[in-house]
Amino acid sequence: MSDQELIKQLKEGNESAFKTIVEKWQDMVFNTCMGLVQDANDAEDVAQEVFIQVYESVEQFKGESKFSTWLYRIAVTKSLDHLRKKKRKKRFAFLQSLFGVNEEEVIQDPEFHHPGVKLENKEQAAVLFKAISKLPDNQKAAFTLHKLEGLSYQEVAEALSTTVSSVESLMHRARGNLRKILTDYYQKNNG
Amino acid sequence: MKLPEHIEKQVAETMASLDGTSRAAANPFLYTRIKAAMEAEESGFWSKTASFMTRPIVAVATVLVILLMNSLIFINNQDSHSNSNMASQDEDQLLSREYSVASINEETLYTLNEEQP
Repeated sequence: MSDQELIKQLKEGNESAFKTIVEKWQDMVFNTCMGLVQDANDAEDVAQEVFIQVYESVEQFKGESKFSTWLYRIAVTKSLDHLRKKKRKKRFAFLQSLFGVNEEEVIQDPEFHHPGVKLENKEQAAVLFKAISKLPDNQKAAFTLHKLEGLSYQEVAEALSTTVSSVESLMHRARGNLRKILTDYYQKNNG
Repeated sequence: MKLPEHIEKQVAETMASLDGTSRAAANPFLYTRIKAAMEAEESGFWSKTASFMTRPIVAVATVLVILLMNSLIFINNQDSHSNSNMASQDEDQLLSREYSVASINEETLYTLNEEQP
């Protein structure tokens, strides 16, 4: 069944069309969320939210872009929202711990290991993910979509509702920032 | 400033560490979880409303608002009652005037009737 046929059926409220859509795109959505939120459990929660959003707002999808582009857009927005909420919560918990309201220790994020990374690159990839998490949101989204999902600059531009030249600029700045963060990291850790 | 060669090498290798990464696979039961979450969201509306309404602060605020509205209605009623009392007194006077006229007429009639035989 074609994507258009599936979307048409979903708009008519067909449950099996929704199931097919989830099964067809779940890995793509999960992998995007995973790259951005850097936690498997959080990524699964966000992927759930993405598909619920798809079900609830499929009427708004006019077919002007590819369905996968629309999915990427929702996945990126939801993941970045999730990260913002998490950061806010962490800041609040930190403040509480300062004033002794919350006696629990503020736990630092553990190292993130993406399950798809080649075994020989595991350690370096974990360092790179840590550095990616420090990038501004738009650079983080562009870099993740390009590197983890293998999207072209054109596809990244469509997913982020921007132009190809903006994506080129975002990628250039992202690479520059990552190099700087990594250089600092290795200078500190190599003595 | 030129960076030491080994650091440059480490940075370059780290930058390339995501090359050839395969996609992470989602939980095969993701659809079941999504359906469960959607059903919970639907049935959750009434339970959320009920739990909101039974919060002490909401319950106390609701009781206070009801009491306030009752007192306002009571005060308004009293005002209108005193006004209506005055109005009803006027009406009474009018009525009594009407009746007194009628009674005079009746009286006159009676007296007339009594006087006739």
